[in-house]
Amino acid sequence: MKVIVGEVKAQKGVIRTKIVCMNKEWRIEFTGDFMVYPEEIVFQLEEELGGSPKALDYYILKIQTILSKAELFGCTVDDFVTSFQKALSEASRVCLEY
Amino acid sequence: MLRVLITEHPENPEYSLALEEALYHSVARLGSPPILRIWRHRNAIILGYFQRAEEEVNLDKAQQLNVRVVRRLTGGGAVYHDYGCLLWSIITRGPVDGGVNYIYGYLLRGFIDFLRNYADVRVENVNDIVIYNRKVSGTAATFDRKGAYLLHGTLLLKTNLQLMSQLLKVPRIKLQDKGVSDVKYRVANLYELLGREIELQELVEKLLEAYSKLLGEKPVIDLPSEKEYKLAEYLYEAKYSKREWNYERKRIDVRIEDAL
Repeated sequence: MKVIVGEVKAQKGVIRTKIVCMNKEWRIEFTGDFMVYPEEIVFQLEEELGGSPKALDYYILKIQTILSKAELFGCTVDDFVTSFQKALSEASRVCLEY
Repeated sequence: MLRVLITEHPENPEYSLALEEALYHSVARLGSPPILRIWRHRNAIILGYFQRAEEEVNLDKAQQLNVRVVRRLTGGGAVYHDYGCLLWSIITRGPVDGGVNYIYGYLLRGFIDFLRNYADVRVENVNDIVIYNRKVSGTAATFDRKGAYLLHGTLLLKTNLQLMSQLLKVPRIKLQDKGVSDVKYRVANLYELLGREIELQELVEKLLEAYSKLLGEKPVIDLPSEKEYKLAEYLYEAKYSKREWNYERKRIDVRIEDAL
């Protein structure tokens, strides 16, 4: 198992993307002190992004589509995309064998 | 009517947070009038909804000092509570589509008006309450899509800031952003800023006056109802007493209807 973290400081709060690579499947988690409403949408996003690794465009579209249904306070959809991209670039490099 | 609940369980922050959620459901689903709750904890760290304990808290120190770690139902950052920190919550119904503008553009005004009894107040960086350039309060909120709102916050009166800085971790990226090296870089206790202490009773009276005026509701000192306590007990058992909720940022689905 390998854990990769990407972090972004939004206007208000930190958005931390964690990619857990295991058995060629990825589990995604967003943690930090950000504010997103309704809160459950973040868990939905994590479920949608998890599974076998995919291309960057797929992830960006998913993040944009799902978070477009949410109200974000002190952070933006782009902050989530950037945080995810930071983790993804590292994960793509070191996670392939996991 | 504005129900004023001076209801605290300072030794049991897990139950205290369960009651907080129960009161929110009471307004959202059981038709309770608006609630202003005023409460405290003896010694606890309260995490935001999306936070993991290991990332935010010096857990060894917390364990050593018997500081409990509990996760709340609202987003935002971790806070340290002790008897020197007054906690307040306003739970009400509002416009269905009010969203964060209703919370921070309207509901927060009650707390700001209250603080203006004592000093010049500014809101900085979205929702930090600042007096003399020092942050004395943090707030967090949640709402549903049916017009129920909960806004709660801290008011640092004479909190042990030294202990706070030892217990809470600050992400490196935040320190880089702010160019500071300590969690207490700009927080301060209200009493220190004012150079005097204020009776808690006076603070409570001024706070309920401010929210009564804002909401146009007459304040009535009340207690949680039997249903609210029952719901709190259910939430405590099912969620707030669980390690996976408090430490591991797990989602725990609860069936409120079953508890009522």
